[in-house]
Parts: sequence; C-alpha cells; structure tokens
Amino acid sequence: MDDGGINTVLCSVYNSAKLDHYWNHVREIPDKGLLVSLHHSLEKSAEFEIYDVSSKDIKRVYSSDQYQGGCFFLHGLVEFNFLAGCVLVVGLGAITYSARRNIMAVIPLCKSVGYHLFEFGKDKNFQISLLRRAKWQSKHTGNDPAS
Amino acid sequence: MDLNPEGSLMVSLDWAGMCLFSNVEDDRLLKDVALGVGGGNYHSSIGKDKTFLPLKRPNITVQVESYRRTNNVHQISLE
Repeated sequence: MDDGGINTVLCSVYNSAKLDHYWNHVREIPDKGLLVSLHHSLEKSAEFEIYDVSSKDIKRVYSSDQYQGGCFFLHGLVEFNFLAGCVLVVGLGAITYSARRNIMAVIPLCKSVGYHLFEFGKDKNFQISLLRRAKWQSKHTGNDPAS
Repeated sequence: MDLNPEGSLMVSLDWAGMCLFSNVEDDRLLKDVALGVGGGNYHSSIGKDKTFLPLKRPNITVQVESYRRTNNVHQISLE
C-alpha cells in the first residue's frame, strides 16, 4: 500500500472514531464590502468563498481551490495501541486581514505551510491573488502536548 | 493567527501553546514565547501534567504593545 493509501485508511479510521472536526469562520472585509467564509475540516481540507455584500444583491465573487495537506502525527492514540500514523491536517482555521496592506492570511498546512497570503486588488473591481505560501515555523509542532 | 494593523507582523499560536512572532515579508522568526496554554479552539492543556481544560475559546490573548520597524518585538503582555 502506498503512502496515499495508508493515509486514506488512517483518515477513515480517524473519522470513524468520531474525532473529525469542522469549523466555519466568517470575516467581514469592511473597507471592501466583502465577506470571507472559510470552511475547515480539520483532517481533510479547507476552502473559502468571498461574497460581495456591498449591496442587497449579495453575490459570490470568488471560490478558492480546495487546500489539502499537512501532516499530523497521531501520537496521542499510540498510548492506547490504537493507531499511529500521519493524517492530512489543515487545522481549525483562522482569518486575519490587514486593511493597510490589503492582505489576508488563511489556511495553514500543518508542518508544511504557515499560511496562505492573499492580496486584494485596490481597484473597485474585485481581484484577489495568492501572494505566497509562508514557511511553516519549525517551532510550531502542530501537536497537542497533552495527548 | 493574527496580523498586526500594519500587516508586517504575524502572530501565531499552536495547540502546544507556542506563540510565534514572524516577519510577514520573509517569514523570519522574530520571537517565540511558550505560553503553556494551548491555542487550539477545541481543547488545551497546562504544562506537561496532561490536565485537559475544555476551552472552546482560550481566554488568553497576546498583545503586541509595539513593533518597531527594526523588527524587534520588545514588549509583550498577556491578558
């Protein structure tokens, strides 16, 4: 079985143990009349959509790619001889935005990407572009020390 | 994670309670602070005694009092 297959099985077992978590985050970008809706499935993927809420006719103006990746070692379950392995993890998610620089950071990939940094265009017409993927800081283990 | 208003500094907190301050431009690590309280929204822990604290939202925030253009984080307070 290749690594992808192993990860699939591990994810399946992990999910069947009812340990999966889903989080939604919503953040207004007030100076642009936009709303960012971010969906994180902890051990699967993350994606976000952006809505133009500047008028009564709310419309979706952007749908991101689906981001998958990261590696989370299930050492907490090893103690119970239940499972040991690595699953894809995108974290619980957060949105942060700087109005001065028109940049937004979202979606870390555990042990891989610290966050994805997007830039909004300064024109009235909606524009967004991925500036770069920040480096994962090695001091962030991503793991829960209590497990 | 959170950006400072200028968009030059990223503050990130992981489940292990490690709070990192990094430069947005080049990801350079400026300062790390071990808070001892995890930043995960689901649960947290204190120290190494494996005591679980069910925290939906950790009642801890990190404020950067000031951030010089020299990239020195020189004062941090916890609330």
